[in-house]
Amino acid sequence: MRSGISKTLLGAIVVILIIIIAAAAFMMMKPSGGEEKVVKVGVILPLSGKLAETGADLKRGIEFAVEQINAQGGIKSLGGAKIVLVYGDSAGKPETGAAEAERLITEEKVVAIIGAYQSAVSKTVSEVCERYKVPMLNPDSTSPTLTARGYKWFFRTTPHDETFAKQHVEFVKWLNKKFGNQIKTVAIIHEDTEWGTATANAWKKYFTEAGFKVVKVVSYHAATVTSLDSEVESLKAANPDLLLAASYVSDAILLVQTMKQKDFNPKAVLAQDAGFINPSYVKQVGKDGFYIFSREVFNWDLIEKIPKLKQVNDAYKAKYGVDLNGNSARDYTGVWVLYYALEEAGKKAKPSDLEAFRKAIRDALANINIPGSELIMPWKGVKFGPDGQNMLGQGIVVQMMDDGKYHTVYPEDFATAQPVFPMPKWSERG
Amino acid sequence: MNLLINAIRKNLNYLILVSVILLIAPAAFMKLNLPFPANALFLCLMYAIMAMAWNLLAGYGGQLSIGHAVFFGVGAYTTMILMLYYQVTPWVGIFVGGFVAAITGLALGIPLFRLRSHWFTLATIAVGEIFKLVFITWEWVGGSRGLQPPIAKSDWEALYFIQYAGPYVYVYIALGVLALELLVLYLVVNSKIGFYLQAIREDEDAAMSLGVNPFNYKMVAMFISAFFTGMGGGLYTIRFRFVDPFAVFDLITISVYITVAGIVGGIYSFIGPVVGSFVFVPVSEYVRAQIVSRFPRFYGLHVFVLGVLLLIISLIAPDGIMGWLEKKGVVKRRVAIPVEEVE
Repeated sequence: MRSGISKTLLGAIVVILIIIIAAAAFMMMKPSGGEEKVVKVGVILPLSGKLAETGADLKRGIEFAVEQINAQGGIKSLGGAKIVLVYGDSAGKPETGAAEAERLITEEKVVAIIGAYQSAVSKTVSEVCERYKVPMLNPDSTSPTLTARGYKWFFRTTPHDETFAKQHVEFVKWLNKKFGNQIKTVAIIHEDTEWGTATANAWKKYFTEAGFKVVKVVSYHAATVTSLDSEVESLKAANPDLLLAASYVSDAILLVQTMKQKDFNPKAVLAQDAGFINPSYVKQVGKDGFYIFSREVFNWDLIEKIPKLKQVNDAYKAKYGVDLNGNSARDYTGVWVLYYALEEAGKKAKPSDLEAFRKAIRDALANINIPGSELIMPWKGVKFGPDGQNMLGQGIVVQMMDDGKYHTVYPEDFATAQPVFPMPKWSERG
Repeated sequence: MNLLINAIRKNLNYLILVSVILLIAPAAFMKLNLPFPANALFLCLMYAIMAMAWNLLAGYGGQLSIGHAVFFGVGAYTTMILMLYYQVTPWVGIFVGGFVAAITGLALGIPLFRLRSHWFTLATIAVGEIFKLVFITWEWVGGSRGLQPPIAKSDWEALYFIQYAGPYVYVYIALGVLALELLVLYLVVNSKIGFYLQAIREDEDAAMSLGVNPFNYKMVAMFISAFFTGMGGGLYTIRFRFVDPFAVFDLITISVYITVAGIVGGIYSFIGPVVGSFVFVPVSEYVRAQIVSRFPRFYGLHVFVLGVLLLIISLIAPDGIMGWLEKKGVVKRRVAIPVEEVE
């Protein structure tokens, strides 16, 4: 038995360390691009991991908006500078998102950051942005806490979960008025990350306040769930008039399939967007998804109501083969909002003075006022409150009809169809 | 102690070289504005700290735990709660976090050490998942929303709450923790505790018949292992300034990564888990960041590449990197090895 660490062993460690440092130095050497006028914008999305599918969708929306902006002449106040996107993959994890934000800000020197879909990741990314004084535009996270932190560099275009929950209650009241008070009891199923939980809590609060009875709340973990049998059984036992669901993609598919299997028939199902409006959900559930209501921020039939939308969606579909959805449309809109701010900022500062330019973007965002007619979203416009929340955003409610498509049923200004209520029982469906 | 001084004196040149490289690297990264490799270095150190701690229990004691995320999470949450609710500086909080994790380890050890071999391993996985669920529903610690401290308003507050831009400062803190851990573990594994643990690993009944109380020594190993894993959690808290149950109690990225780092490096070697972390973590980080940005269409590709790499390592070096180096005669074997391997 020899004592002490052998010399060769330590030698090996030294060799490994040298390799690591050499690799780091290698990474440092970046191909030096031409001196073309560009403005770098950082994008942080879950491009790998469980949410990669959603991430790809969001990425298309962002990419498409940037292509359009560059094609129409880039940022005119900066002499037609093109927007260049630099991606960071959060892998769906808050710590990876934070590290990527640091990399994009200090190494890539982006002027602003867009992202990051999951509220937990948006929290750490926005914290890094706030400390480095970099404007962050968040088009797609709906946790109410994000805009309750008093941050100065954080702007959110999408309405958040509390706004949506309030709107849900209004919608159900409207249904009751229309169909004679059929909904009295409510059950909730939600995935258990921050988004699902915040949604469920807001539902509980606002539905109880409005005089509905919440008879059952169940949660599950979306990343690992393989069966919802017992969850659906317990919901069925509670026999609610209305089921509220907050799910991501694969668990939403599982939920609908399990409901059919267990013959669980609430009078209506009202989902909170996310998984339920994902194209692969629509493809996979097929007929079983008919008559489910979902809160939406966007819908294809808004084309009839929003003139600008049709041309955007046609071009988008020609390029990617899918229609815009609530995720890609929100991120698309987010990029345009940032573009308007970049135009404004370009009048006051130049990207060569990074610090001043970032500050100018922040100020431009804080004072932005975009009318609803400029947007493809069913919003009244974009105007940020002092907390960074868009005060003019609102959601819509859609229902999947028997043509396999979601139709807008609420609010009435944007509605293209009458709601089907109550939902036909599984046994009555062909 | 003489053993330690001897070991240090014998390897003084190498130790100085390694220390100098590790001390200069973060400053160099900072100067060159390279947060990515610096962050990778931080993650290497964080995983090295945890894999070393894990190896005391798994490698020396033969108690394979795939639930070390429990101690990581408890350490991370303790540091965060002390900082957020009680304004306790994480300079102290990290140690308290380690201590609370160690107490948790003892409490868990009482039922868990009634189980042997794979039953113990399965139970640790279950405990990890249970802790995650408890923290998801525990509103006082933020539930599934997690906890995030406010941004420091002054330089003094930044120092008090250890809030610095970029990963650079945290690399030095992690280095300090790793140095402390290496010192403690070196003394432990070369004391009778280390030998008793190896005896228990080789044949628990035989060790018992020779008068070694397996339960007591497993508890000692658990205490030390959980303590340093908890400190790893504290480092996570101060570095990323956010904890939620999904990130810190994660089965794959915490429990399994620690295990993989330990096994890749070689669990029968003292320094193996550090080597394993310094190989596994940068490769996974580099592959994730580079492959994804090169081939954005194949956004799951890096996981596949990592899988293939692991497969290759387990084929050519089933005893881990240090085991492979020993077999090739590059490194001399100095730790007691499993009986059946001694020919």
